[in-house]
Amino acid sequence: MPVTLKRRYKRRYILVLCRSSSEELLSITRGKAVNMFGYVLAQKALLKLIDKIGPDLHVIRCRSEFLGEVLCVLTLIDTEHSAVVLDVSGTLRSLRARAVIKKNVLETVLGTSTKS
Amino acid sequence: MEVNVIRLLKKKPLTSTTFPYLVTSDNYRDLASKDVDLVEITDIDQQFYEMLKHTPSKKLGIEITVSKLRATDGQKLAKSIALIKSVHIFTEKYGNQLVLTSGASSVFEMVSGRCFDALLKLCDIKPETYWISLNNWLEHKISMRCYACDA
Repeated sequence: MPVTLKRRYKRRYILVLCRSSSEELLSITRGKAVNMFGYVLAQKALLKLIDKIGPDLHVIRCRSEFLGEVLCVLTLIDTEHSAVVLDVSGTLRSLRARAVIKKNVLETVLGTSTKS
Repeated sequence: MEVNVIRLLKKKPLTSTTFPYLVTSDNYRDLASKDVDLVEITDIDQQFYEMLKHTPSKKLGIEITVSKLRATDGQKLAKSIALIKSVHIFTEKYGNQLVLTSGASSVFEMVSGRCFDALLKLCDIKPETYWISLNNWLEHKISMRCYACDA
Protein backbone atom coordinates (compact mmCIF):
# COMPACT_ATOMS: atom_id res chain seq x y z
CA MET A 1 0.00 0.00 0.00
CA PRO A 2 1.53 3.35 -1.02
CA VAL A 3 2.32 5.75 1.80
CA THR A 4 0.98 9.25 1.25
CA LEU A 5 2.39 12.15 3.18
CA LYS A 6 -0.06 14.36 4.94
CA ARG A 7 1.19 17.78 3.93
CA ARG A 8 0.36 21.01 5.64
CA TYR A 9 -0.20 24.06 3.45
CA LYS A 10 2.86 26.22 2.80
CA ARG A 11 3.14 29.45 4.71
CA ARG A 12 4.80 32.77 4.11
CA TYR A 13 5.88 35.20 6.83
CA ILE A 14 5.72 38.89 5.91
CA LEU A 15 7.65 41.61 7.73
CA VAL A 16 5.57 44.79 7.68
CA LEU A 17 6.49 48.31 8.70
CA CYS A 18 3.36 50.05 9.99
CA ARG A 19 2.67 52.72 12.58
CA SER A 20 -0.67 51.20 13.61
CA SER A 21 -0.98 48.56 16.34
CA SER A 22 -0.70 44.89 15.35
CA GLU A 23 -4.40 44.18 15.95
CA GLU A 24 -5.39 47.25 13.95
CA LEU A 25 -3.08 46.25 11.09
CA LEU A 26 -4.54 42.75 10.95
CA SER A 27 -8.15 43.93 11.01
CA ILE A 28 -7.45 46.57 8.33
CA THR A 29 -5.65 43.98 6.17
CA ARG A 30 -8.56 41.54 6.53
CA GLY A 31 -11.07 44.28 5.75
CA LYS A 32 -9.16 45.40 2.66
CA ALA A 33 -8.77 41.77 1.51
CA VAL A 34 -12.54 41.32 1.79
CA ASN A 35 -13.04 44.60 -0.07
CA MET A 36 -10.68 43.63 -2.88
CA PHE A 37 -11.03 39.87 -3.26
CA GLY A 38 -14.11 38.86 -1.27
CA TYR A 39 -14.77 36.91 1.91
CA VAL A 40 -13.78 33.54 0.47
CA LEU A 41 -10.22 34.55 -0.43
CA ALA A 42 -9.80 36.56 2.78
CA GLN A 43 -10.71 33.44 4.74
CA LYS A 44 -8.60 31.07 2.62
CA ALA A 45 -5.52 33.30 2.92
CA LEU A 46 -5.46 32.44 6.67
CA LEU A 47 -4.03 35.76 7.77
CA LYS A 48 -2.56 35.63 11.23
CA LEU A 49 -0.52 37.95 13.39
CA ILE A 50 2.66 36.20 14.47
CA ASP A 51 5.07 38.61 16.08
CA LYS A 52 5.93 42.20 16.76
CA ILE A 53 9.54 43.35 16.48
CA GLY A 54 9.70 46.80 17.94
CA PRO A 55 6.80 49.28 17.88
CA ASP A 56 6.57 49.56 14.08
CA LEU A 57 7.62 46.14 12.76
CA HIS A 58 5.00 43.41 12.57
CA VAL A 59 5.11 39.83 11.28
CA ILE A 60 2.04 38.52 9.46
CA ARG A 61 1.55 34.96 8.24
CA CYS A 62 -0.47 33.89 5.21
CA ARG A 63 -0.86 30.93 2.90
CA SER A 64 1.84 30.88 0.24
CA GLU A 65 -0.81 30.32 -2.44
CA PHE A 66 -2.32 33.76 -1.74
CA LEU A 67 0.90 35.70 -1.16
CA GLY A 68 0.43 37.87 -4.26
CA GLU A 69 -3.06 38.92 -3.19
CA VAL A 70 -1.91 39.64 0.39
CA LEU A 71 0.98 41.77 -0.88
CA CYS A 72 -1.44 43.75 -3.08
CA VAL A 73 -3.75 44.25 -0.10
CA LEU A 74 -0.89 45.48 2.11
CA THR A 75 0.28 47.85 -0.65
CA LEU A 76 -3.18 49.34 -1.17
CA ILE A 77 -4.09 49.93 2.48
CA ASP A 78 -5.17 53.56 2.87
CA THR A 79 -2.52 56.21 3.56
CA GLU A 80 -3.62 56.71 7.18
CA HIS A 81 -2.60 53.14 8.11
CA SER A 82 -0.14 52.60 5.23
CA ALA A 83 2.06 49.51 5.50
CA VAL A 84 5.42 48.79 3.88
CA VAL A 85 6.38 45.20 3.13
CA LEU A 86 10.05 44.87 4.05
CA ASP A 87 10.63 41.16 3.67
CA VAL A 88 8.96 37.85 2.89
CA SER A 89 10.22 34.48 4.07
CA GLY A 90 9.17 30.85 4.26
CA THR A 91 10.47 30.42 7.79
CA LEU A 92 10.06 32.59 10.83
CA ARG A 93 13.63 31.97 11.95
CA SER A 94 15.24 33.41 8.81
CA LEU A 95 12.79 36.31 8.76
CA ARG A 96 13.66 37.20 12.37
CA ALA A 97 17.38 37.05 11.57
CA ARG A 98 16.95 39.42 8.63
CA ALA A 99 14.54 41.63 10.58
CA VAL A 100 17.30 42.50 13.07
CA ILE A 101 19.43 43.95 10.24
CA LYS A 102 16.45 45.80 8.77
CA LYS A 103 15.55 47.16 12.20
CA ASN A 104 19.01 48.70 12.55
CA VAL A 105 18.78 50.26 9.09
CA LEU A 106 15.33 51.64 9.92
CA GLU A 107 16.60 53.19 13.13
CA THR A 108 19.17 55.06 11.06
CA VAL A 109 16.68 56.10 8.36
CA LEU A 110 13.83 57.10 10.65
CA GLY A 111 16.12 58.44 13.33
CA THR A 112 14.04 56.77 16.04
CA SER A 113 14.65 53.89 18.36
CA THR A 114 12.55 50.82 17.50
CA LYS A 115 13.43 48.75 20.56
CA SER A 116 10.81 46.28 21.72
CA MET B 1 27.83 63.00 -12.69
CA GLU B 2 25.27 61.37 -10.37
CA VAL B 3 24.23 58.48 -12.58
CA ASN B 4 22.11 56.57 -10.08
CA VAL B 5 19.85 59.49 -9.17
CA ILE B 6 17.39 60.81 -11.73
CA ARG B 7 15.90 64.14 -10.74
CA LEU B 8 12.31 64.99 -11.56
CA LEU B 9 11.93 68.57 -12.73
CA LYS B 10 8.78 70.58 -13.43
CA LYS B 11 10.47 72.64 -16.17
CA LYS B 12 13.13 71.85 -18.69
CA PRO B 13 16.41 73.58 -17.69
CA LEU B 14 17.61 76.29 -20.06
CA THR B 15 21.23 75.12 -19.95
CA SER B 16 22.73 71.64 -19.90
CA THR B 17 22.96 70.06 -16.47
CA THR B 18 25.51 67.84 -14.74
CA PHE B 19 22.81 65.42 -13.54
CA PRO B 20 20.30 63.23 -15.37
CA TYR B 21 16.69 64.41 -15.17
CA LEU B 22 13.17 63.87 -16.41
CA VAL B 23 10.67 66.66 -16.97
CA THR B 24 7.36 65.78 -15.31
CA SER B 25 3.85 67.14 -15.50
CA ASP B 26 0.64 66.31 -13.66
CA ASN B 27 -1.51 67.73 -16.47
CA TYR B 28 -2.63 64.95 -18.80
CA ARG B 29 -3.09 67.52 -21.59
CA ASP B 30 0.72 67.56 -21.82
CA LEU B 31 0.60 64.13 -23.46
CA ALA B 32 1.13 65.77 -26.84
CA SER B 33 3.91 68.03 -25.54
CA LYS B 34 7.47 67.28 -26.64
CA ASP B 35 9.08 69.04 -23.66
CA VAL B 36 7.64 66.64 -21.09
CA ASP B 37 9.07 63.17 -20.38
CA LEU B 38 6.62 61.93 -17.79
CA VAL B 39 2.93 62.74 -17.40
CA GLU B 40 1.11 61.76 -14.21
CA ILE B 41 -2.43 60.51 -14.57
CA THR B 42 -4.06 61.79 -11.38
CA ASP B 43 -7.55 60.42 -11.97
CA ILE B 44 -7.26 57.35 -14.18
CA ASP B 45 -11.02 56.77 -14.20
CA GLN B 46 -11.84 60.16 -15.75
CA GLN B 47 -8.64 60.89 -17.65
CA PHE B 48 -8.14 57.58 -19.48
CA TYR B 49 -10.78 58.23 -22.13
CA GLU B 50 -9.60 61.83 -22.50
CA MET B 51 -6.09 60.48 -22.89
CA LEU B 52 -7.14 58.35 -25.84
CA LYS B 53 -8.27 61.50 -27.69
CA HIS B 54 -4.81 63.07 -27.47
CA THR B 55 -2.15 61.43 -29.56
CA PRO B 56 0.78 61.16 -27.19
CA SER B 57 4.27 61.85 -28.42
CA LYS B 58 6.55 58.85 -28.83
CA LYS B 59 8.57 57.56 -25.88
CA LEU B 60 6.50 59.45 -23.33
CA GLY B 61 6.16 58.07 -19.80
CA ILE B 62 2.66 57.77 -18.38
CA GLU B 63 2.85 57.72 -14.60
CA ILE B 64 0.33 56.14 -12.25
CA THR B 65 1.00 56.45 -8.52
CA VAL B 66 0.11 53.82 -5.90
CA SER B 67 -0.74 56.63 -3.45
CA LYS B 68 -3.65 57.64 -5.72
CA LEU B 69 -4.81 54.01 -5.88
CA ARG B 70 -4.68 53.83 -2.07
CA ALA B 71 -7.24 56.60 -1.86
CA THR B 72 -9.75 54.56 -3.88
CA ASP B 73 -11.82 51.67 -2.61
CA GLY B 74 -14.02 48.81 -3.77
CA GLN B 75 -15.51 49.23 -7.23
CA LYS B 76 -13.43 52.28 -8.14
CA LEU B 77 -10.22 50.47 -7.21
CA ALA B 78 -11.24 47.48 -9.33
CA LYS B 79 -11.95 49.79 -12.27
CA SER B 80 -8.59 51.53 -11.81
CA ILE B 81 -6.77 48.19 -11.85
CA ALA B 82 -8.58 47.21 -15.05
CA LEU B 83 -7.71 50.60 -16.57
CA ILE B 84 -3.99 50.21 -15.72
CA LYS B 85 -4.01 47.16 -17.97
CA SER B 86 -5.65 49.26 -20.71
CA VAL B 87 -3.07 52.04 -20.21
CA HIS B 88 -0.32 49.44 -20.55
CA ILE B 89 -1.74 48.19 -23.86
CA PHE B 90 -2.20 51.81 -24.99
CA THR B 91 1.42 52.73 -24.13
CA GLU B 92 2.78 49.65 -25.88
CA LYS B 93 0.78 50.46 -29.00
CA TYR B 94 2.07 54.04 -29.29
CA GLY B 95 5.67 53.33 -28.19
CA ASN B 96 5.25 54.96 -24.78
CA GLN B 97 5.96 53.64 -21.29
CA LEU B 98 3.74 52.95 -18.30
CA VAL B 99 5.51 54.09 -15.13
CA LEU B 100 4.07 52.75 -11.89
CA THR B 101 5.44 54.69 -8.92
CA SER B 102 4.79 54.78 -5.18
CA GLY B 103 4.08 58.52 -5.03
CA ALA B 104 5.40 58.32 -1.48
CA SER B 105 5.80 61.41 0.66
CA SER B 106 7.20 59.47 3.65
CA VAL B 107 9.02 56.22 4.41
CA PHE B 108 5.74 54.64 5.53
CA GLU B 109 4.21 55.12 2.06
CA MET B 110 7.01 53.46 0.13
CA VAL B 111 6.34 50.34 -1.94
CA SER B 112 8.79 47.43 -2.16
CA GLY B 113 9.82 45.77 -5.42
CA ARG B 114 8.00 42.56 -4.55
CA CYS B 115 4.76 44.50 -3.99
CA PHE B 116 5.19 46.25 -7.34
CA ASP B 117 5.51 42.82 -8.94
CA ALA B 118 2.35 41.63 -7.17
CA LEU B 119 0.48 44.75 -8.33
CA LEU B 120 1.68 44.29 -11.90
CA LYS B 121 0.52 40.66 -11.86
CA LEU B 122 -2.84 41.84 -10.53
CA CYS B 123 -3.05 44.16 -13.54
CA ASP B 124 -2.16 41.24 -15.90
CA ILE B 125 1.24 42.74 -16.72
CA LYS B 126 4.29 40.50 -16.71
CA PRO B 127 6.74 42.06 -14.19
CA GLU B 128 9.85 40.91 -16.12
CA THR B 129 8.64 42.53 -19.36
CA TYR B 130 7.65 45.70 -17.50
CA TRP B 131 11.00 46.16 -15.71
CA ILE B 132 13.00 45.50 -18.90
CA SER B 133 10.95 47.99 -20.94
CA LEU B 134 11.13 50.58 -18.11
CA ASN B 135 14.90 50.18 -17.96
CA ASN B 136 15.20 50.59 -21.75
CA TRP B 137 12.93 53.64 -21.67
CA LEU B 138 14.95 55.29 -18.88
CA GLU B 139 18.25 54.57 -20.63
CA HIS B 140 16.86 56.06 -23.85
CA LYS B 141 15.60 59.19 -22.07
CA ILE B 142 18.82 59.76 -20.15
CA SER B 143 21.20 59.03 -23.01
CA MET B 144 19.40 61.37 -25.44
CA ARG B 145 20.53 64.46 -23.51
CA CYS B 146 23.80 66.38 -23.46
CA TYR B 147 25.32 66.92 -20.02
CA ALA B 148 27.81 69.48 -18.80
CA CYS B 149 31.10 68.27 -17.32
CA ASP B 150 31.64 68.54 -13.55
CA ALA B 151 35.23 69.80 -13.80
